[in-house]
This record gives sequence, structure tokens and C-alpha cells, in this order.
Amino acid sequence: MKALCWQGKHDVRVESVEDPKILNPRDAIVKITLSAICGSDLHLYDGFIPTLEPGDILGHEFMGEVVEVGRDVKNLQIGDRVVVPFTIACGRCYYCKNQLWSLCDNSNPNAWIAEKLYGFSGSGLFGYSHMLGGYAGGQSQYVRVPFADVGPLKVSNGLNDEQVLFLSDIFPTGYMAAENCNIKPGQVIAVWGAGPVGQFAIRSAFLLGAERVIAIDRFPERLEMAHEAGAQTFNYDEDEDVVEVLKQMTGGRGPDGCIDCVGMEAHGHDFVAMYDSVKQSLKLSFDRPKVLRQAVQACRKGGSVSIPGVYGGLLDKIPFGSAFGKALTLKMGQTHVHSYLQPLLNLIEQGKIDPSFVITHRVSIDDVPEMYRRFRDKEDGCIKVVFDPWKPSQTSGNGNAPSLMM
Amino acid sequence: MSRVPKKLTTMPRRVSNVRDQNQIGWTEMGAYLIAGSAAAAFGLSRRTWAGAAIALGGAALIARGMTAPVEMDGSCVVSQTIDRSADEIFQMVRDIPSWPSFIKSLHSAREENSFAAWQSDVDGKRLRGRVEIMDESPGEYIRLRTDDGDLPHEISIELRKAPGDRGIEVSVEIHWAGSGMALKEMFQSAVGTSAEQLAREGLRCLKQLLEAGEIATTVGQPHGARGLRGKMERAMLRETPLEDQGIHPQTETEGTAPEAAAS
Repeated sequence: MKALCWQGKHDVRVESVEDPKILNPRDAIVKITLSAICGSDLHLYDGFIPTLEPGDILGHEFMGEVVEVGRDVKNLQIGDRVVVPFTIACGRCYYCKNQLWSLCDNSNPNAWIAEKLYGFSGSGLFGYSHMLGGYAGGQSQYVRVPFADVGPLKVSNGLNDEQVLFLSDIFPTGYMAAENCNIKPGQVIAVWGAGPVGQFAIRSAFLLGAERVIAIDRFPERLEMAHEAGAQTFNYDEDEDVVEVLKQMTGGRGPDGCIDCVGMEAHGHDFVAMYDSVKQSLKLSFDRPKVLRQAVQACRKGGSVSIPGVYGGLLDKIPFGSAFGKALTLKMGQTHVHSYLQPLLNLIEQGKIDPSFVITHRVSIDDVPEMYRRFRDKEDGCIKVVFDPWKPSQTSGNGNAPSLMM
Repeated sequence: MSRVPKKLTTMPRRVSNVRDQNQIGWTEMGAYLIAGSAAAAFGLSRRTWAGAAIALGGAALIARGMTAPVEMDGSCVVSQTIDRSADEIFQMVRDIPSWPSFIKSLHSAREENSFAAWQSDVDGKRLRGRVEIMDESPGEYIRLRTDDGDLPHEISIELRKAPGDRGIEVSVEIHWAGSGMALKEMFQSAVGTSAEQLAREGLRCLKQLLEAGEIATTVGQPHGARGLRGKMERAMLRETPLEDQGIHPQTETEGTAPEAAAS
């Protein structure tokens, strides 16, 4: 089969690899019909997530058709159309039983690595480093899905792939981020990063009752998409004193909830941002936590800071005194996707949201390496890339310019 | 007394350490390494035949420090909470022939009269030994002594009810005493085959097997070209399966009866 393999920093290639097979009784094999590049895949592409190995198959946002099931998978049939959560969970440990699916005790074969770095291990993830399981991902034509009797959500034929694909990650991630702000009617929520997760966080905040949402980014097309959802927008390239601007926009109070959808690769032009960049490039730090600093500083007293953006290691110069002094609530973590699958599918079926709004680029798998670069560089207004791994390439003759089916 | 004691209280007597005549202490080993390194550096800096001789002498001291048997007295405790009944966990632990289903390095184990014989694949070689049950109380604890002819281990496995109906806290305490090469000890720690690491992974796999019904794995999944760097990284992350190390599991009937190494 064809699969997108990581070969090093800024080096991903489509390779021909063996088809996956059933390895455990609760496995299933899914023929992928639609896959996507996630913003967090860029952390892998940029070489900031440790324990990736050359040859690893990337991808954790995918859906498809079940083509084979292990002997203990009783709830799926060959031919079922499923969306697969990016977190892998056994469904039977303490954490799964308590709906904390991304903290599953039993799905990471390399838990010892995460324990060395973090003390404990979370669940395994598809295509996201060996510390988090080393599972082959879904930017491929087929994928092996462990614990398939627990994770995959069957979807009816009434909805097309583009409408349900994002249940695998970014829609639940944005929704949980908003939920973590404990939003009450009339509240103001600020969202840093108007990328795909940010877009879903904005819409989820409104669905959960926020009166105003403020989107912070620097790319006009992303701010425009946020504006279409009803958000006020703020381009930090025009005024980098984000904390002061947010105070002005909220009558001096600060937002009730602040959502950091950026994570470890925050940008900026001031001295602290340069300091972060130098430290990261010297491998003295995994993260550039500029947005998190701003979110903690900007949040109103007693407010909530929600962190769906990925962080990898030790964060420098976080104003923890500010968080303590203002009695903030900080909530974070990988998304407990399994908890959100059915409720969010219900919202889609009810017509309250059509997640396909976020797609800007539709390509073939052969174009995906080039799209990683464009997505990272935010070229062509790139916000979300999806691809059917079976669709032939539309690449033009020079091989450099994917024909984008926008 | 804290609920989880640092050292379990029901551990039987420590394994006695029979001193090897060539055995050196860790301080002595450190002195060999420091003196050897200093002599080697000094000798090499001279760039003369006399200097070369001094460097060779230094290398000999380093080799002595790294290969002489050192005291290997040690112990570790590892714990997991398993969401199953004490009886179910005890039954699995007591059934020594089932150990290869959750201890990855164990090739086979079978009961013979008063002890069980086992074969294990560690660091690229096949080890044989035996394990004896010294004491047990169903659903509460089991104490074992295992011997691979190199370093005897005494193991105490205790089961306690976890608070909040979360299952059973399983603690494994291991004591060992004897002598061995410091180099081998360092290598085993690096590749994850020290007693503590094997116990930690074995207990984790037992939990996975009992709770999830299977042990999470990626061995056999597809991947792209690994190249030299990928293969080295896999080895560093202990992901090279036994087959890749040149060890091919045999069926129980293929091998001869494991010898009692302690005999």
C-alpha cells in the first residue's frame, strides 16, 4: 500500500509499504477513504517531537471502511463505515471507565519511555512518536486499528466523509477545549490560533453559550474564517501587546476563558519570542510557550485557561505567580475523543454544524509531502488539507505544484 | 506507617551473598577507572614509546575495573494497580507455566515436581534456570526464589485491595545478591533487561493481559524504509523484536529439559 513516511526533519515521503495485518484479537483493519494533515503533525514535520523513527507512518485523522476484524471484535462488520479516534483506548481500565480515554493505561506498548519523561504514560496515539506507542498512522491506504471494539464510531451513509472525518480529532479537540473553560451564558472567550482546532473551539464556545469570542491570529484567511463564525478578530501582527488589547476589548476585565490552540510553536517578534526560538533550535527546550504566557496574563481573575495546543517538555518563564494570584483554573491534555464522538455526531446530524467548512485543500496522497510544506508555511490560504489515499495524483508535469481541488 | 511502604515488610530473608574471590567493591572499581583513565590520557599525551606503555597500562586498569566481578547486592520494588479480583491475579501469578504470556523475555516455563523450570532470552542469549515457590497465601502473597546460575533472586509478590474499588495493588519486590561485571550491569540497564526493568514490564503486561485481554504491540506493523538511523533508534528504544536479535522462539518440545542452574 501507499503510506506517508517520516524520514527526518522536513522530510516526509510517500512510500510503498506492506499492508497492515491483524496483530491482536481486538484489532481491525480499515481501508481509509479520507485522511487529513493535522496541525500537530507539523510538530513532527518540524522535528520537535522526540522518539520518531525514520520509516514511521504518520497520520491520526482518518476514516474508512472495515475490511477485516480480529476474533474479539463483535460490534463491527466488514463493510462498516467508521471514524477512528486518534487516541487508542482499551475501554476496560480505570481511566477508560471514567471517560478519561486519552489516559488509557493499557494501549501504549512503549509506556516506559513516557514514564521516564512524564512520570506516567497516557494512551497510545496513531502516528505520533514511539513515546506514545509507535503505532502506524492513517496517512496511508490501510491502517490497523487496535481495540477496534471500543474506538471506531459507525456512521450512516446520510453524511459524507468530509462532514464526519473531523470527529477523529479536531472537532472533539476544539469542543473539549471550549468545555474546559466551563463557559456560562454571557461570557467572553479568547482563542489563540485560528487554525483548524481554533476554528472548532470558536464554534464550540458559541454552541456552549459564549456571548463573545475573540480570535487571535496573524493570517487574514484564518481570521476571516473566524469572523464568519461570529468571532471578533485580532491580528497580533498589528499590535503585539495582546494582553493589553484583550483588556481593552473586555472593559478592563480580561476574557473569562482563554484557549491556547497554538502550543509549542508559537510565533512572535519580541525579545522573549526570539529567546524561545534560540532555546528551541539549540535543543535546550521542546517548546516556545509565548501564547501560554499571554493566556495566563490576559485571563480575568478566577477565569479558566484551556490548553488543547500540544506541549512536549519543560516550559520556561510561565507566569505561574499570575495564575496563582488570579486563582485561575488550568485544564489541558489530549482529547478524550471517545466521549465526544456520539454527542458531536448528533450535532452534525441535527445540522447545528457542518465540520467540512474548515477544508481548504483536497489533494491526492502523492501531493501530501508538498502540502506539509505549504501548510507549515501557510501558503495558498492553507488551513486544512484532506486527501483520499486512493485518488490518483493531479500533480502537474513539473511535479512541484499539486493541483488543488479547493 | 504509610500505606505503601518503601520496602515491603513480609519479604523473606535476604539472599546471602557468597563473595567471589576476585570480587571488588564499587569504590575499588571507581579507583581503577579513574587511575586507568588518567594513566591512559597521560600516556597518550606523551607520544613516545614509554607513553604508549603507560597508556596500555591505563587501558589494562580500565579493563580490570569494567570486567572484574563487583558486588551486586540490590533490590527493587515495582507496583501496578490491576482492576481484577485478588484471586484472579493470584491464580495467574501462581501459574508459572503461564508466565511467558506476559513476560516477553521468557521463552518457556513448566512445572517439575517442587519447582518450575524456565528458559529466557535476555541480551541475545538463551538462559535457563528454575523458580521455586518458598511460601504463599492465596489471594494475598507469593514468595519465590529464582536462579539462573548467575545471580539468585528472591521475589515477593503482594496483593492489596486498592481504595475506591479500583482493583488490587500488586507489588513485586526483588532482592538479589552475588557478583557480576559492572559493564554487564550497565549494558542491561541501557537495553532494559535489568531485573527492575524486566519486573516493571512484566507487571505492566500482566495488567494489560488481565484488564484488556491482550498486550499492546506494534511488532509486525508496516513501516517505510528505516535506514541505519531508524534501526539504531529502534534498538535504543528497545523496539527490536527478539527475532531481529537472532533469537527465534522454539516450541516447548524442541529444547531439552531446562537444567537446574543452581545445582
